[in-house]
Amino acid sequence: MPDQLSIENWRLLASYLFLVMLLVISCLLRLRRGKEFVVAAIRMTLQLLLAGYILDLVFGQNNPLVTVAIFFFMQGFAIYTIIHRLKHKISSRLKRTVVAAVFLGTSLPLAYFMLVVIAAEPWYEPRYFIPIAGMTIGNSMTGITLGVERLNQAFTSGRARIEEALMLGATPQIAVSEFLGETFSAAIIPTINAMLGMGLVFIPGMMTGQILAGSSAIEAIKYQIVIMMGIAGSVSLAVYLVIQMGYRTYFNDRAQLDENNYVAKRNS
Amino acid sequence: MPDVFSLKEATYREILYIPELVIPGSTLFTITGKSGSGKSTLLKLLNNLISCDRGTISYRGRNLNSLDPVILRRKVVMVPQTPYIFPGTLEDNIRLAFNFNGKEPPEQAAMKDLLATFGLPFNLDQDSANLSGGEKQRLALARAVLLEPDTMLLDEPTAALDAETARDILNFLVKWVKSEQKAVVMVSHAGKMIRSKADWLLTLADGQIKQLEKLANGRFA
Repeated sequence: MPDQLSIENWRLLASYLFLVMLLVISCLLRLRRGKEFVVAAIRMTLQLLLAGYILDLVFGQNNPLVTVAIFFFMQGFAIYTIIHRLKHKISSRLKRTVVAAVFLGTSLPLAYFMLVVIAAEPWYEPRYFIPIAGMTIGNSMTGITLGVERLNQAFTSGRARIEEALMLGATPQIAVSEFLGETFSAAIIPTINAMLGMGLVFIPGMMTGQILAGSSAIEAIKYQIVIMMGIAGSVSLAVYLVIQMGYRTYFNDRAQLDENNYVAKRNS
Repeated sequence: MPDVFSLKEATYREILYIPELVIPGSTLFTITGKSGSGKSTLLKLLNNLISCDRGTISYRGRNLNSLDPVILRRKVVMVPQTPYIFPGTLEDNIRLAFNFNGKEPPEQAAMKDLLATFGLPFNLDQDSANLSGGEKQRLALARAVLLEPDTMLLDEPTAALDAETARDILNFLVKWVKSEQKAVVMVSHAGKMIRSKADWLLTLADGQIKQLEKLANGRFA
């Protein structure tokens, strides 16, 4: 196994030349987004440094409570990000749905993954648990965001269709069934595309990291396959839950479109 | 003949206030009034697409709030002013309506016959996207009639039609309520034609009842 090349601090700093390049390009294009790029780069650096130190601490401990607490923190951050990343404000009922979808959609596949697929000993082994949780939560976050966006779009632009169906005697579920299928497909497209391009179009970050760290390519690929399957399962479950529970929030208990749950555009 | 709807102190926001109103069975009950007078809101209340804030609405003697809204809408079908025509053929539209209504669709011959009665003598596989505004309105009406509901709530069903077609449709509705013991509650601009066909004419103004007339069309007067 080859030795891992360590990155000296001055070389780490040298990589920031790429940021300078980005800033120069944005100046040339008069984008006026330099500040945004600098903030993004600083945030990325600080977040990773912080994560690195925390992970070092976490990997060194042997307490399931700490691992689970970090898992909940990651889920909480994902929920916060989803709600703030949406282009529209969402009702408190839909927010609760997002919370449930993130929690169930990532916890159940992760439990299966840790206990059955990689059978880690102990089950909470942080070296496996934390990175895998991060990947499933991150991808589910993207899926749920897309799912909620599309759901909202269906109820806004497709309102006439839904109302017509209700007038003809449809249950809310039948009235929106076509939209639900479309919404699910749209929300899992990034995951499916990632599977299709995997290994051909791009070498995923985790695999790159493992190879750089000295693992054999075959071993890295095996991990990547099981991770991708885990991500696909987690995204599907999370998106399915958010759609199935989410569409109900647009109706009241009289099977009417709930005006209070119609979302207002952000003022920004 | 039992009443289809009875309203008491029915209030919806600042839009509509009906102190008392009875819509009898086997009638063609028309509602008229200026734009914004609450006509469409009244139809939506009867379809339970919205609920009144205060007061009660009863259907066949039972409070609407005690009925399953979906089962109610399967009996009391509404056709809005600008109906939504589902993408696909004429037959797709009819089949989808039956799917929504939880019923088995009729034979193709029955679909074709009714479409022809409504001035749509087309093949069932014709794309509904090619229909004109008036044709879409008639397709929506035919879709509703085929469902054989107990009551139809129609929002200006003849608005986009020429006088002759409008008369044919009204004649059909008069026959329908009479022979099938059903009711039609219909929003329409009052005109001579309506006065000569309908049994009742309710005039709304600013969300309140301005006038309720029992028309002398020779059937119930």
